[in-house]
Amino acid sequence: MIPSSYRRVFFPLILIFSLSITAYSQFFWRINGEGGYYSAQGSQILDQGELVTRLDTDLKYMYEFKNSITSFDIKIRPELYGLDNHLQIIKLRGKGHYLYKARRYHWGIDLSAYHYLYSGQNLDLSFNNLIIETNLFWLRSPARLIQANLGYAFQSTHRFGDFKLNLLFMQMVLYRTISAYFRYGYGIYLEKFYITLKLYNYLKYREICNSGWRTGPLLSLNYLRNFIVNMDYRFLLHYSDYTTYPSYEHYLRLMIGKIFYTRWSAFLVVDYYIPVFKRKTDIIEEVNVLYTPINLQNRIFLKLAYDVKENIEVYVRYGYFKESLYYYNDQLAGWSGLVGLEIRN
Amino acid sequence: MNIKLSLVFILILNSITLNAQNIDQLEQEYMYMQTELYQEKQLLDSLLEVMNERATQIDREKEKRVTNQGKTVDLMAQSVPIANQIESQQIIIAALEKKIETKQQILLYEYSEIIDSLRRVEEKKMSPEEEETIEKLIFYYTEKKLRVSPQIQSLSYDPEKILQINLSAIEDSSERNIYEQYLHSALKEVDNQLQIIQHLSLEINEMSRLQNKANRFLDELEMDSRIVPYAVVKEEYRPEKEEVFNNNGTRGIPSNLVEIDYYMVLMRQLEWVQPREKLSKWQSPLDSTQINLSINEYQILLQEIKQRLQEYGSILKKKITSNE
Repeated sequence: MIPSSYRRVFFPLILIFSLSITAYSQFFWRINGEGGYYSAQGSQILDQGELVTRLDTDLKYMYEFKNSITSFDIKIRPELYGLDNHLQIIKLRGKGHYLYKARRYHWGIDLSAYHYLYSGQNLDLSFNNLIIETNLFWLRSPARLIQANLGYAFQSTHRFGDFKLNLLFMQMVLYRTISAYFRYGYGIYLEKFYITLKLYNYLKYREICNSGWRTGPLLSLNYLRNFIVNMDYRFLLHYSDYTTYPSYEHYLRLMIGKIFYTRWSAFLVVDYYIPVFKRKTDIIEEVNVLYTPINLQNRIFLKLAYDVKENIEVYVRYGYFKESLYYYNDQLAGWSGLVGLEIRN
Repeated sequence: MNIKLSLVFILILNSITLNAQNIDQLEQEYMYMQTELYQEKQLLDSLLEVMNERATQIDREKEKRVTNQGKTVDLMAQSVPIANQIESQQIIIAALEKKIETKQQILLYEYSEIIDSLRRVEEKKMSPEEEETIEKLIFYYTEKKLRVSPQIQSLSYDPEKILQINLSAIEDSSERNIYEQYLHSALKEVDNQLQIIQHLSLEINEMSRLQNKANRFLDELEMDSRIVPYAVVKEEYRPEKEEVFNNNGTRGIPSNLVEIDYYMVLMRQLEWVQPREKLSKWQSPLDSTQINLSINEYQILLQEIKQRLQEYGSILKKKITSNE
């Protein structure tokens, strides 16, 4: 039963969205199920090798009115590693998006909230992420597009204590179009972060803080025609209370894909993240409050898919994954081979 | 009998030739007026340029911290005769344009007279050579007539004008033949356009599928996708772009996708084919003032154009076949 206060707010909104003549609204849904085998590497969390299953459901509502688009997206993803000594993961995501399209610029605001829950014999951990971000796409000329982002993110992790990460970030990229199919971009990323760790140990309470900057250049290459190539690279210098110069991070994402024989497609994704943090020698702490990036994994995956119908796809995926969960001490890592089925409207 | 007819034929041809001499003179005057108009317009352009320079100078003077009032007043005073000259030049041009229009109408009348005379000759019995000569003359003057008729040259670029042609209502067979040729060339142009649109649609569909699949793959892996949406960017519309047609009315396959303006113009040309209220469907996602379109929006635009071209082509075919 929907509470009456909700009904008062939402029903008129739904009515307005549905009856507006110039507006256009649509629901999208997607269900993706996959299962296979993983072989763990260097991880105390996972067993050596076991079965893995995953279900991914996504529901999106999009509403277009004149020059603006509003969308809401909910995603639920339960994952199960192993059968006996298993690890359960539940990932939830909610997203709201608003975009206004003008003649020479697009302006938008995104709100994303994530809740990740890891529960197993060797791990009990939860993540909460919140990201608010504004985007501006400004078309200076047909060959030059400027993208500017400004945002705030919050991450809280609960394990032995409460870990909180607050950050403000901004990014500016200038995209240059070489041809209608190829463009490159270069820009700068700047982030100010604050970390707080609250530890409760034998009735003793401690609070450790760290703050710093991450900044550096970024480069992007995009090609899209009969195949797709996307490459993003960042080199960020890392300054914090716990690290000394030179501390830096490399992040590379490469995606290559092609459709062949009409129904077949192959995609390769490589995510490579390497932090090189040089710790200050004068700080003696049993716990180092180091920066743990939000939603970042090292991985290489190859996917081969076949379109059974326009909205049904079967695929196999094979690759390596390494997910850092807590100060790089807890890691989900290994190789996996999966078979999946995706149905969408 | 034959001698009599030949004599009539020669006499009529002579009168036509005499009339044609008069037309030659009219045509020369018409050409001279057009050259004159071109020169007067050039003079007006240069005057406007000088005026703009003066205006910029005055603005600059005004923006200075210490304004030289005397200089500003001088500049403004100097601009007055130029403004007067511009005004009188505009009057000259307007008068000349009116004269040209009158001359066009006279030429149109004269060509019609000659064609009518030739038609009357054609009705009489003649040798095949004479008939051929008359046919050639009719064709020659009909073409001249069409050239001075307003809008006729742009028939193949203006669907509305083309579709106003009703072949069965045209009694003059030569005129009908010429209009029929125009219809055929318009149909050829539509077919070529359709080929280009189909080629582009296939390419855009492939790109859209690739982009969607790439985003879904990332979403599968990390609950998020970070690919910056690929946009198709249009250039500001330049009218000379219409000249990209080759002599045979075909148009080369575009080397890139920066062609949206052209398709927007084409779309507007084809708008009339369907009732206006039906256009709202494509007009809402595609604001004509929007400069960059997403791949999906570009897909919608191409699909709409494809449909309109198909409809336009079928109407043209019907018009041509109804005459056969």
